[in-house]
Amino acid sequence: MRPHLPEEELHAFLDGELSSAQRAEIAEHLLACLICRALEGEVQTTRDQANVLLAIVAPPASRYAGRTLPRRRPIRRLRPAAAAVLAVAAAGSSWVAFRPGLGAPSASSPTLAASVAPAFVAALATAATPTLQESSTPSAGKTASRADRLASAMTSRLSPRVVGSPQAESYTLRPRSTIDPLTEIVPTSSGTPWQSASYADARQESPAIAHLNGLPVSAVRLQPSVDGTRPASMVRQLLPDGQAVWVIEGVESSVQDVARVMQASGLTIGLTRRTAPDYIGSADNPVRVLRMVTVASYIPFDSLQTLSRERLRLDNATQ
Amino acid sequence: MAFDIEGLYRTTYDAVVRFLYRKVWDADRAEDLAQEVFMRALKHEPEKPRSWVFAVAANIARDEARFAIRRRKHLTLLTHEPIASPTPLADVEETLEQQEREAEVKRALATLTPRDREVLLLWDAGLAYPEIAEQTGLAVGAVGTTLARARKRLIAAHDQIQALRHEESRAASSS
Repeated sequence: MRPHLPEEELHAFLDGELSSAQRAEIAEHLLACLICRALEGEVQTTRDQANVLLAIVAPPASRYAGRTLPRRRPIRRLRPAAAAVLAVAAAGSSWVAFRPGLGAPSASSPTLAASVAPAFVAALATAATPTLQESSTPSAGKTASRADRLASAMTSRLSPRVVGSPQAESYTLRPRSTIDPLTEIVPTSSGTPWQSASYADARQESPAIAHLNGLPVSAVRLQPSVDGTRPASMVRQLLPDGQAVWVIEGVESSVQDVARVMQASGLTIGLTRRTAPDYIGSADNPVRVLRMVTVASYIPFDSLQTLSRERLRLDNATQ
Repeated sequence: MAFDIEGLYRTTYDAVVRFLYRKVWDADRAEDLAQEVFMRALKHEPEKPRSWVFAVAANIARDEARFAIRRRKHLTLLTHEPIASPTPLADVEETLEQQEREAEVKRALATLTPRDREVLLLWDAGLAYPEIAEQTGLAVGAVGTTLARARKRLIAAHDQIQALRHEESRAASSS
């Protein structure tokens, strides 16, 4: 096996600037080498960040309406995290949405299929066509330029979708217009339904709501338990840049259900930690129920871990 | 093969404007210069049109920089005239924020070495490694290295600028 891949080679690889033989060699190495895969992730992030920065210094977008952009097709394994970054950036200026669009492989491409969660792909496969038609309705279809259609098709493809039930084949898809997955993630697990609550109420319900210290809370959901354990909680908080982070705490099954749904929607899930267990049943014969906590967001895994290491609070001491 | 100015225009015009904009920092001027580039392309009918337009754009931008200082003096005179516009306040705020973000990236770009910056901008304009190599005089193998460095430096410089700004605003609010 060859030594580890140099960084610049990964840049060239992700930029689509290598011969097919070189590409195959690198892809093979990446399959076998965790270290290089981690580096690839870093390079991918660097590329995306640089692209986002450059997109900021573009001439006013209005002057560009409806024109096509030149772009060769670099191979890109579009990860959910990267896709989220780009989808967010897309809101800012139209050509940003466009650019990853041209670079991204089509939904049926095997490289895409291989790098994202199966449920996510299944959701894409079902959803891609209706969304496309929806975004180019007959009346707009004639007037909208090819660029617009492609851009809207790409943004709809890039945006993560909420998959209803994680284990069943009969998951429900909600159209993008009715639910923005960045704000609404509603796990419809097999257990008790989740309910929205105010943060203050939630703190009364349960003596401790897991949350990240010092970040504004924008939504709280509780899942009442049936067996006498404390309710499971999901707290949505906002990072300074407006990105959402979810903190999920509860018994193992609840947390796992939520984490599965979120992962299927393309969020990064942090490492799961144990929290204080519940003891249910009679006082002389208590049953210990494990509880755990995890965090989820559209930010890279490392950032998410740092965030949870530095800010995760399991008590109500401070907010 | 016949020279296809229309195709060239359609596929590279936006990229050329963007490339020029990041050198002259004036959207109108960038469009004017881009027009000039394509006028010249029409006359020359270059063999490798894509690389050619960016080479010419780079040259034009360089010439432009020499006259920029003189024009800026002229512009400051003009901008003293207040322009009344019924823009809603929210828009103004948004525009200011956008301008601030743009200024930060602009400053970050300015910290790169000319070669790193050129490679980064050419890549962003849509040129392939061999085309970038040809235009900058680098070996094709060195383009990846340069680009990797340029990207990292841009991000690092931008982070630093932002950190500095946060510090300043904190200092301002605490005093």
